[in-house]
Amino acid sequence: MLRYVADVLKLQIRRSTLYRANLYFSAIAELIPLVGLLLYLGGAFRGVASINGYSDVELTTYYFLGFLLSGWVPTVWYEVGLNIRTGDLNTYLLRPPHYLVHFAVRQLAVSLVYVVIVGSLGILVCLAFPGRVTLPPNPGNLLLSLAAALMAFQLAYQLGCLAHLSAFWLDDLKGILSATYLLQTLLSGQVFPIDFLPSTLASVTKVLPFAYIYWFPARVYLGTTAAQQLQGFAVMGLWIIVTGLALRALWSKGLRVYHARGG
Amino acid sequence: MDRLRWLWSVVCCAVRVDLSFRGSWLLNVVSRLSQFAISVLFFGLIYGERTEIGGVSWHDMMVVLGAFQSVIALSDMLTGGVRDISSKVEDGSLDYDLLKPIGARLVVSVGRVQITRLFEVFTGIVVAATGARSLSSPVDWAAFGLLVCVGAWIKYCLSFMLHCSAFWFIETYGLYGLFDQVFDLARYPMAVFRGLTRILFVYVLPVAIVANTPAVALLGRPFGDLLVLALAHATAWYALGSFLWTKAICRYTGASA
Repeated sequence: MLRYVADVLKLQIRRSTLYRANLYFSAIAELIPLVGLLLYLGGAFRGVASINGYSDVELTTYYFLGFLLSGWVPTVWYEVGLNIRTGDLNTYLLRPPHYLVHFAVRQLAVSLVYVVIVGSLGILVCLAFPGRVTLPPNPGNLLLSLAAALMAFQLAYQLGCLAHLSAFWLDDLKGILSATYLLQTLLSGQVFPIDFLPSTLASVTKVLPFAYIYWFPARVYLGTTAAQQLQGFAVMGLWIIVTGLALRALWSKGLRVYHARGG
Repeated sequence: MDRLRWLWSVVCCAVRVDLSFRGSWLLNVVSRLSQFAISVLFFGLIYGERTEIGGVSWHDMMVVLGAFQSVIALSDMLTGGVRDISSKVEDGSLDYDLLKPIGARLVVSVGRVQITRLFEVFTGIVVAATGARSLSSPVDWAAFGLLVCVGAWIKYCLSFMLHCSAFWFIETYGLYGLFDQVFDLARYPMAVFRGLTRILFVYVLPVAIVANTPAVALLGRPFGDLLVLALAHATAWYALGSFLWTKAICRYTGASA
């Protein structure tokens, strides 16, 4: 099993780096919104010390971490839903490793490649905007935010798969996928920190799983109290278990209605 | 006449395709509109209690955002077909477009009209109108409409040129992603672009002017120099795109078909 995983990982890394120019363009594409934001925020902070409790450096660092996380957090490919709809899933069902494990390994390989490229582009951002990206208050925050990022990978993958598994019942996934994408964009803290929302709405959002994909790892890096960290990790862990169980139930129910009619 | 009849059948087909999965279509429309709402919300949260940031008032910002939404949605609605060029070149299905009795460039450009995006165009206009309040005259509105079309045309020309690269290179999806992200910078007011970024996004790549020009027109401010610049870009990029298309078609062998 381990050898299989290692081979899939190696193969996907090779596949992802096959068209290197394409890869660099994709990574630079992630960089552009960050540069636009930094240019805009530079003007927005003129004459004010903070916006919604974030200083210029804190908000810049927040978006910088969001940029790094965008390279790491998986966006589940259309391939999953497509395999179910076209019947190509048959090939994977015959293999000993679980289909979703196989895909998780492939996503991990892509994320590893992206994180290296996005990380190196991140150094360029730090050089272009000197003094606007800060280090965490202590090394412990860095380690904890790394742990949160690892868990965010798992959570985002499971949430993405849950949406794609609807292909067992639906013929067209565009609507449900764009709705999931929208929820994730709005509630994950990718566009703005959750703390920017009115307090009631922010409290509700912090109970939902999406906030733990971007906002929580970035918040841990910037510094939170021990109680907030503990609560955050507990909610995140709970969501990983809940979505994992839901995924397992949906998969077994889906296989029962799967006819491989496209295969 | 043939072209008009063909265009009408393309539009009818697009509506039928869109409405074949009504639930999915509705979710798609709602999520696209919500994405725009998120963008407006982001700027709203940054402005907070402030009325002005860097010389740009909240109302001006809304007009820029509305114009940006209208330009992007209009361009993608009418010329979304350019996104299929690379896959058509890859699998050789471009042959079918070349065999049609109407100009191949027109066929590949408007072959996939997305009527759904009309909602986004209207939403953009509504947001721009909210920002402009009742200060704009009918002439300002006419100029706004015209300049939104010019902006959409510029975006189409640039997008078309970029997708023509598929005739020379394979796997250029990263480049298209990059283009979309660069064009997303058009949502920022002109004041954001200074120094090197101003030269790059105003004079080299007209990203900053596609939404800012109609916004300035709607706000009733002088826009003559921006108009000249926008028209110059529209003409230059169209000419360059036509040149590239001719070269690309000469090179295309349909070997992958």
